[in-house]
Amino acid sequence: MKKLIFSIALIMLIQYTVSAQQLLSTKSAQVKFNATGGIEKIAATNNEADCKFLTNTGQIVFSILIKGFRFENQLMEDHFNENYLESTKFPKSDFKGYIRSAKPIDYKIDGNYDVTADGILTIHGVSQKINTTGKINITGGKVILLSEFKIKLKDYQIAGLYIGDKIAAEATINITSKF
Amino acid sequence: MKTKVVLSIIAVAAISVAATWYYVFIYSKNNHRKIDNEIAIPIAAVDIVKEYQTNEKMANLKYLNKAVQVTGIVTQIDKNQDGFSTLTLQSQDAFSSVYCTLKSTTNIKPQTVIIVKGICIGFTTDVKIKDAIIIKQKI
Repeated sequence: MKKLIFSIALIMLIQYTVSAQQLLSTKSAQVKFNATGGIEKIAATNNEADCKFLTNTGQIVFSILIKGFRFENQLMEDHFNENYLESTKFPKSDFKGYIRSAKPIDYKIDGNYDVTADGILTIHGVSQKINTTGKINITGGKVILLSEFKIKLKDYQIAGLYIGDKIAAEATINITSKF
Repeated sequence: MKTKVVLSIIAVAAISVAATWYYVFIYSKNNHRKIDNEIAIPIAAVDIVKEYQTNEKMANLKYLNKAVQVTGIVTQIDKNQDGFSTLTLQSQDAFSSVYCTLKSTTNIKPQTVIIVKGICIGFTTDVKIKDAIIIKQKI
């Protein structure tokens, strides 16, 4: 009898930890960037970002492949890969950090939350601490993570002829991660 | 005679300048890499995942930015945020797979064996293939 009670308690405990530690993950988060400096639009989209997010702790990991960025202009895409991001040498970019919210988030109820994120962003082989703001949207049990922030290309040792001229010194990054 | 030679030299020069200009500024801008006619490296989904898991650097040297022709079992079909179809091909590891973004939409069903050709863009937890086209669908 004691054994039975113990095993029931154990099962309940395991179930509790499982439900409390919900892991959200997607392979198709969208990352856009825009570094238009002049008349010509310099923007690209990547629809293959990996994102894993633990809702109880707020821990988050983004992982993205540079060669997955698509430009309308093939020539720009080639320059982006060869001269600026050197994507053969540095094929990956990632962000590891935490999402924090002032009020606790209930993932079972629809709502919008303003959040902040802090962590380490690695681009072009250079890691930098970043702080940014974002939003978490919950609709019908589906969680969407949104963020927009700017990065200075210089901080990540991205150098090239047109930076500061045709290419903006700061790129705007847009993230839409649907789980 | 002299004028003819000079004129033809000028004509050749003008044509080559125009051709170079066209190639650099117009053709390269609008023509995305087409892998339809490229010779691809044939490999099974199970093997490419294993190679990437064993040694990512070596696998990148072998496959990164190259055309690959992957054979595998489709486990999942989805659409990305821009409306393109994506396929997940099974590997021996439940946490890893080959994730392909197709050039167009598809009516493929899960659990079918398929051969896709695309450009390998690297490895996160999955091997990722972009601009993929379906070569063959076995039932």
